[in-house]
Amino acid sequence: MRVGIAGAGFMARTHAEEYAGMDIEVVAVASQSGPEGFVNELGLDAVAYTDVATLCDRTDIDYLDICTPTHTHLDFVRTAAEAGVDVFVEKPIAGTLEEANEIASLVEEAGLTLMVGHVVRFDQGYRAAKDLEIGSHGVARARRLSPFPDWGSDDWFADCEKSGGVFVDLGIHDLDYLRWCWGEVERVFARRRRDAHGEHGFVTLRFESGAVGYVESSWSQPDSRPFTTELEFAGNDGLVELSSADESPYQEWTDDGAVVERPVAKSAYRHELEHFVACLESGTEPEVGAADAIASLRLALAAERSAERGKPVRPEEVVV
Amino acid sequence: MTVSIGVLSSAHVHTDAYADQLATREDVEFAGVVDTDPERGRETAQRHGTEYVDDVEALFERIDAGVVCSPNVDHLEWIDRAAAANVDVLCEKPLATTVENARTIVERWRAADIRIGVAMPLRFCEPARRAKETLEAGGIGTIRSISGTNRGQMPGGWFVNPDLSGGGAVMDHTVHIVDLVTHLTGENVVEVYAEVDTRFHEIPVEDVNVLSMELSDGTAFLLDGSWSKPDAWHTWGDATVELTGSDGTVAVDYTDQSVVHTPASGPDAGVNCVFHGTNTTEALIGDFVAAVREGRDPMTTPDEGLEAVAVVEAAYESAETGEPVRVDY
Repeated sequence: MRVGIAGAGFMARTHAEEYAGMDIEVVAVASQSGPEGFVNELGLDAVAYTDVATLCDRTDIDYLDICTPTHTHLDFVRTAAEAGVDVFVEKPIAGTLEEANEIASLVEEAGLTLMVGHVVRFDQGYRAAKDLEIGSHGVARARRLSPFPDWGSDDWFADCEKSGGVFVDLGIHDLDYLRWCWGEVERVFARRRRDAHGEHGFVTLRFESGAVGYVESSWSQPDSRPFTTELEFAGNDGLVELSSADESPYQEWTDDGAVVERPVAKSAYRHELEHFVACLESGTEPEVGAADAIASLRLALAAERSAERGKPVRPEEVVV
Repeated sequence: MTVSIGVLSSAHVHTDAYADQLATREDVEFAGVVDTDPERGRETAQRHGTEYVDDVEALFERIDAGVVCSPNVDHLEWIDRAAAANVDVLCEKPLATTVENARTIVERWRAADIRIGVAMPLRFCEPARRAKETLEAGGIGTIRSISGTNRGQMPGGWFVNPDLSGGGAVMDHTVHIVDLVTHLTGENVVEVYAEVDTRFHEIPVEDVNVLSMELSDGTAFLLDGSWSKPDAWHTWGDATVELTGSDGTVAVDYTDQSVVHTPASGPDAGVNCVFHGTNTTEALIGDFVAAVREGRDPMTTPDEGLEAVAVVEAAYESAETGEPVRVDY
């Protein structure tokens, strides 16, 4: 298969590195400022473009992989739809429901396959946790703690108009995963603190089943703290616990410092991209299509609205 | 100087831990146990080598102080009686099951010349003390958010009888971390939103207790105090608090100083944890004994106990109305 990548940032790099180990050729890369450096650095045999439309004019790509900032997703999906190219798009699907719904319509009208990169569903620990027996659902706990994402081009994460903020960009990982595991959510209540370069929030969830959950999302951690995730499912007949901080399968100490790694032969990104490619090959629907991604976005936007208003919000109240 | 102390009701599961301290401390004369349930009281007294006393007033004559280990709803009555007899009190948490009763206790405390302490052992947890030092030194800058847990196994017994406990997990597992956060930050909880339910056990009180709170300085504070740990879990529960500020994060995990013990057979077969950190019960009782001896306030006073009770009451109101509730102190 042949892929064209839109974007040359952190996520484009992550995907390109996975493609190197797969039977996928990166034949084109587009970024506004010119992706030559990216192409050279990764040793890709790819043509560099400065706009996605020209990239999509190529007839030899099987799909477009959109790894650009959230607020640009709709435009690039439109371009792909006009060219009749299938699409993989990073999460969140878009920053607003209006844009997300338009993406869904474009893809449907053009008869394309679309998958949204909710990668946590492909993390093998989270995947295993989903199916472990705990009886009926009680309380779900999911935490995701990170330093402020200063790797975005032009600091786009710091601009809430572009990134949507910590719930829409980071919390959505766990919101989507919990929806996948425990079903739809009836109401959310959220609080968050936000300042120039830090954001930290809590979302409590009441699922339609009656179960309770909460998501903690932080862009406020010091650089010395490794990216930390934690998951817990408590039920009336069992408990599931998964914590990145508790896992140190590879450690290394030298006079220069300490290394803790959790190496896996296939990363969650690899599993995710392989799933998408397999869907394209077999003509089946990917696990995370537009409808699912929109429901998760709606939940994140409900959290955002709740934090702004100081009131509980039902996801169905969020229509734009 | 030796201080004479009695146990006022042995209903609470923590009674044995306190009684062990009273029986072994050289600066304490463990004068006896009174109880509304004589058989329970006698057994407790026997276990700790002290006497069971039938007549409460007779015990009051002989003691400087009492440790109240009654069901929650009886705290006020025991404190009233002790105050009338001029006996100092260490009261098991929560101080009371209603703000009204907690206020009455505070009034009694202010009117009488006695010392009253509330059993908040986490203030004596060494990692929590380290956290307090770091926070006071400005080590993490301005606090933005606090994430706490006090999950536990379902305690059963009178804890699940609302007429005696006043409520379930909200009543039992809110006050420890709320008190610790108040102690660490110097801020109060001003608003509570609660998701409360009964989903783990067939009991007449709630076992789900997830609280989203705001402190007086605007800090967001989430607490999971559910009775969500299975009996088969490796220990009774947890008590954690993580504070994230503008310049760093501080995390305290009370039970994370444990020896792992796995008996191959018998009633405890499976993985068990034996706590080896600083004994907070010893520190709590030590502080109270010193307070009685020196005529000073113990670590946690009734006005502080009242604050945690106010948060509990607001949590129940929020669960009832489905709205965030301002905390009324």
